[in-house]
Amino acid sequence: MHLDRLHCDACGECTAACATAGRTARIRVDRGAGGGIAAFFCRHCGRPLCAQVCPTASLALGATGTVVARPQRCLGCRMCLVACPNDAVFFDGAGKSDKCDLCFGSLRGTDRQPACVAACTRGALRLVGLRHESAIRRGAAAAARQVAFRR
Amino acid sequence: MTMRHVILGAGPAGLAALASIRRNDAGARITLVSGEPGLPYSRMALPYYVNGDLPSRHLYPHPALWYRQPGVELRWGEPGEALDVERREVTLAGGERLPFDRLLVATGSRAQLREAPGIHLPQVQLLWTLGDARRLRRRANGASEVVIWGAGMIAFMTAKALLTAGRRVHFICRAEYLLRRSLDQEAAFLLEGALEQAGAVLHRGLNLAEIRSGPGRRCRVLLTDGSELPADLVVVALGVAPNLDWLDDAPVQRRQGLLVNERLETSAAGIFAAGDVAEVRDCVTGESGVPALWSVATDQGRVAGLNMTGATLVCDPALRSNTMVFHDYVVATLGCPLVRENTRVYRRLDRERRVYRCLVLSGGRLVGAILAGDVSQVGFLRSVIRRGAVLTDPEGLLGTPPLPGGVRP
Ligand SMILES: Cc1cc2nc3c(=O)[nH]c(=O)nc-3n(C[C@H](O)[C@H](O)[C@H](O)COP(=O)(O)OP(=O)(O)OC[C@H]3O[C@@H](n4cnc5c(N)ncnc54)[C@H](O)[C@@H]3O)c2cc1C
Ligand code: SF4
Ligand code: SF4
Repeated sequence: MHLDRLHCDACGECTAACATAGRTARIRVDRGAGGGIAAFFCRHCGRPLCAQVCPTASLALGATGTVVARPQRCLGCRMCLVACPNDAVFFDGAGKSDKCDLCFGSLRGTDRQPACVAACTRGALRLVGLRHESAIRRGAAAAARQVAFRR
Repeated sequence: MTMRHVILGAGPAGLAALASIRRNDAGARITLVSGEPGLPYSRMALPYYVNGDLPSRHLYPHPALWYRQPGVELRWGEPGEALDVERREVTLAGGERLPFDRLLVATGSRAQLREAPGIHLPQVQLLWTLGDARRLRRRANGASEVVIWGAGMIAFMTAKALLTAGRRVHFICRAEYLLRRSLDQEAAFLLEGALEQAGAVLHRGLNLAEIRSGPGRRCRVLLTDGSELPADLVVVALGVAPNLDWLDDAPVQRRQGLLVNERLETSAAGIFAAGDVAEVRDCVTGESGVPALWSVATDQGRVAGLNMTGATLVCDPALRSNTMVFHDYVVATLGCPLVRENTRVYRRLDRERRVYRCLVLSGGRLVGAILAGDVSQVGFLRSVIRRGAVLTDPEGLLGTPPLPGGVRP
């Protein structure tokens, strides 16, 4: 998933659509104090830090490249929340984790778009190739590591 | 030639290493040794098992089948007892010798029992292993009053399990507030409020003097001020120490933990260490120490595993972070928020909403944070600390607007 910040106006339609599609709203877009767009949604990382720290494998990288939540196993410990650099793990009323699943269950085999993408009034949210996306993410992680070590 | 890997310890560090060795070298032979009986389980999930929230099958991050991969052998119940660096073999408790090309020491740590009169009474126990958790769960069944000796992370987790199961919990807290090494007074106060509402009693500034048997199946805990607490159960949660004693005088350098270089290799070539046994550099302070944290163990395990297969990956220095959750009250700590030298502290407390956010900056860089009651942007802040980035608008991150309906990070 990709958000084109230039076209987003933080209208919140994606959040509302996501809340209807699942247990919680798993995407959030805010206008920051400086007027910039702050977006919180899952990038389905190639090496998902949320799943790496989860003590019960409640979050896991599935075969399709989507990172999915299995709430029955969730402790509500919030380790994943702290680990995710995008603040993309959300919690339901029972304290169980929930995150973007790209509407995988309901869209499988169709050409429809995830609920948030379909609801985006300005065409700012797009679904981009999963593999491509994770390659970008991996590159970014490597770059971040280098920056951390140059200090 | 196929590489023979031995991983000692099946906690988060050992399991992460196994997964990354498999990913990088599918032909490798790997023996995973767990010192405890049974399938490897998640230590962190134990409190949730004690109070009955988590079915026991979810204590295990992987099913038995997961370990039945080609080249992988899981051994349990036989801890490593000796290491021969010269001959490159580990001797197990049963006497068997395991030769290795690469060894990962991921034997974790162990809760410490402090000597005190009465400490060996049957009502007294630790919470560290699955065996401890089973015993605690069983004993908590008929118990109403529980005394916890300690006020750190494990004490909090134990209390959480017992309070949510409806028991009254007494903390014997030597300091003036809980979690003194992780939280400041404001955050601790808010968290304590949530605990006290659920039936916790804090005995501040006191220590345990003695435990006496009786009346009946109960015991009495005597405090340093002469007061006495009746208890069905006493849990000792005073601190942990790395499992290093089995190494005896093996020529591997150690201080608090095993000393490792940035690739997590110990002073003995081909022998790596990860998790609670490893002494590493802190990302913020640069000081060497044993963080003893879950998240750090998973990351080190992953990197150590890759390096065992011949990669030369540098492990990120340890970034301390932790969460404390009680019902729907969440507190998160990042980096080193209690450092006060050359730092500027930004904070905002909203007593009514029970929200407290504290950011600690040093030279414009974020070095620590405590977020209580509202942990929004915690992951972002963590990545800011990790990158050593300059935070231009700390004030703006103190008060975040209430989140839209249904969203509760
Ligand atoms: C109740 C509880 C709650 C916790 N909550 C948190 C929390 O909220 N946040 C947090 O960051 N951390 C928490 N921790 C700490 C966390 O669990 C540890 O930091 C983490 O488990 C360390 O991982 P590890 O892989 O290094 O070691 P461990 O998980 O301790 O695993 C060590 C493994 O080595 C094995 N072993 C030991 N000795 C030998 C030997 N001689 N030979 C072979 N195998 C051996 C053990 O059987 C075990 O399989 C908690 C711990 C407990 C007990
Ligand atoms: S929740 Fe965060 S860490 Fe996990 S896959 Fe999504 S973006 Fe990555
Ligand atoms: S809150 Fe749930 S999903 Fe997140 S790390 Fe804890 S157990 Fe895993």
